[in-house]
Amino acid sequence: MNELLALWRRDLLNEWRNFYQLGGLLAFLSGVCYLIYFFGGKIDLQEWSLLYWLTYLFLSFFIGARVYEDDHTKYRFFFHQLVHPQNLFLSKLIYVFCFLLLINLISLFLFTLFIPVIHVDWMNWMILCLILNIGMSNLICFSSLLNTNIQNSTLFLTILILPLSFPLLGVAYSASIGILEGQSIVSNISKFQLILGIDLITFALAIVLLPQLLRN
Amino acid sequence: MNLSYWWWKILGVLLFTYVLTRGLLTPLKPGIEDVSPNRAQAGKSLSLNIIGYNTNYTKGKNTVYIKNIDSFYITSQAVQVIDDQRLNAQFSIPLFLPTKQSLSQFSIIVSSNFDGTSIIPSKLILHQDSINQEQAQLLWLSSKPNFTIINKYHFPYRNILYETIRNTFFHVSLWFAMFALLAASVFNSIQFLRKNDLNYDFKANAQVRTGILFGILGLLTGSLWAKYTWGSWWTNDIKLNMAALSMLIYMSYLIIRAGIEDLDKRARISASYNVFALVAIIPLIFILPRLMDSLHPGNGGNPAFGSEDMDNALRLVFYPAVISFILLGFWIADLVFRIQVLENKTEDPNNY
Repeated sequence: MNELLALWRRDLLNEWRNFYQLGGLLAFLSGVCYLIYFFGGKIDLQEWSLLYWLTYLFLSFFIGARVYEDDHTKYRFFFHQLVHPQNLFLSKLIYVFCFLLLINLISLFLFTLFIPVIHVDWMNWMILCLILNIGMSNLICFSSLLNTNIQNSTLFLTILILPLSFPLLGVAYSASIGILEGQSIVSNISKFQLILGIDLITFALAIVLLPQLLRN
Repeated sequence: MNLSYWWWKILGVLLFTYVLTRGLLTPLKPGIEDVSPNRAQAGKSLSLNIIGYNTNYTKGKNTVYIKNIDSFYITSQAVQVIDDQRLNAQFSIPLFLPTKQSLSQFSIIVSSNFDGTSIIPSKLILHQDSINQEQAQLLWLSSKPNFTIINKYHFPYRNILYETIRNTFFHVSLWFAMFALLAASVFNSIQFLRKNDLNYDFKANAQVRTGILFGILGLLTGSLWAKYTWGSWWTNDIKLNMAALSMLIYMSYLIIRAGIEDLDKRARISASYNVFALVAIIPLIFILPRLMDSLHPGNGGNPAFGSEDMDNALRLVFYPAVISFILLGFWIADLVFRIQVLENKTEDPNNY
């Protein structure tokens, strides 16, 4: 646990030291929101939700490209002598999960600021983001690890993340429309359960397959 | 010839031949293609023109009925046969209709002692000026007439499908075969990860490639069917789009393989991705379409393989079609696997 926490803190510190990257990400997000506000005009709930998740998807590519950027190239041998690769993966998972949640919060704030919809139930929305990010962080970390084993290019990462993340994002999009329409959490429970089911399966698969990827 | 090695291939070819001949040559059940006019007034006489499909009106005695949803009937007063596909039936519509509404939909039934009974549902709209259900029940027949039933081997006649109903044997079976191949490829990928034997990786790759081929053929046959029944080559239907997306997932598998030079590394990474990919396409094809409205049967509340979609005549060809496509798929995958092994031997003889 201490090892996990130390690795997580290291990632956080690294992020802070490279704050310009996070700043770029925030600038991108603000720019997208402003462009939608400026050119989009009045958009309906479905378009709002679609744009939100599309922006989220693009940002997840950006995050995915950086997960194993140094750790699997520059410091690989150094790390593998110090920590168990599974712990390294888990620490990345937790870090990406937190990062995605932060992105969700900032996106929601900017989207509601620039493109106000009738009503967003913040509580329900964050519960949705919370359970979605478990699966997404898992997919991003796993795809990023695959990518570092292949060619370590952003294009490859996009090819890996995009199709695999679609089941999760598809259900999240469907559930988010329900939330925007003011439905209670109970009426969306089957979709939430489905997302949790996918989370569970992808997590179990990643843990089982991880040793195979790191065998050499 | 070693039968224990060949039997499943022979069975696949025999079943496929059976599916082609029986599936394409069996005629559709006689049906009603259209009736005109499709609106009439209660209390007046109606001259109804009926166009049949696969019918032989000149060869039998024909009776035409108008029926409402609560099973009240009126019988035609006279029927004039124009040719094998066209009939004209004269009705005297009672003043009151057996419904609570002023406008109501009625079905047309033609009973022939040569073709059997055919129906076109909810095609005629009748209008009444005043409502009197008690009086209407006296004017309409409440007991079911004696319809002629002919037991011939026919495929069902569906108004929007017509002859394309035969596509069930190809379109649906191709998807079944694709899933069987993909499931087998995941099994082989897991076997590779357990045993580190490259043969399993080659098998998985061959099965994925054949699965993708079957998936693309499934999409093409589906697109052709959509053009005929829904009027467009491609629609916004959730299942259609999720199927296309699942093909994209497997295209990524091929891209991954193409991107890695080292054999062992390629095998390990693609095997890991393959396991992930199958898990990703299960919600895409089986769960997401059930949560949303879809034109496909079995989704958005429609029944799948229910009596409305598939009768026993279709089942007699459909199940052999599924088995034959699965067997042929595994045969093709086996050939691809052998080609890969030979290619690998040619490239590096030390591998084996």
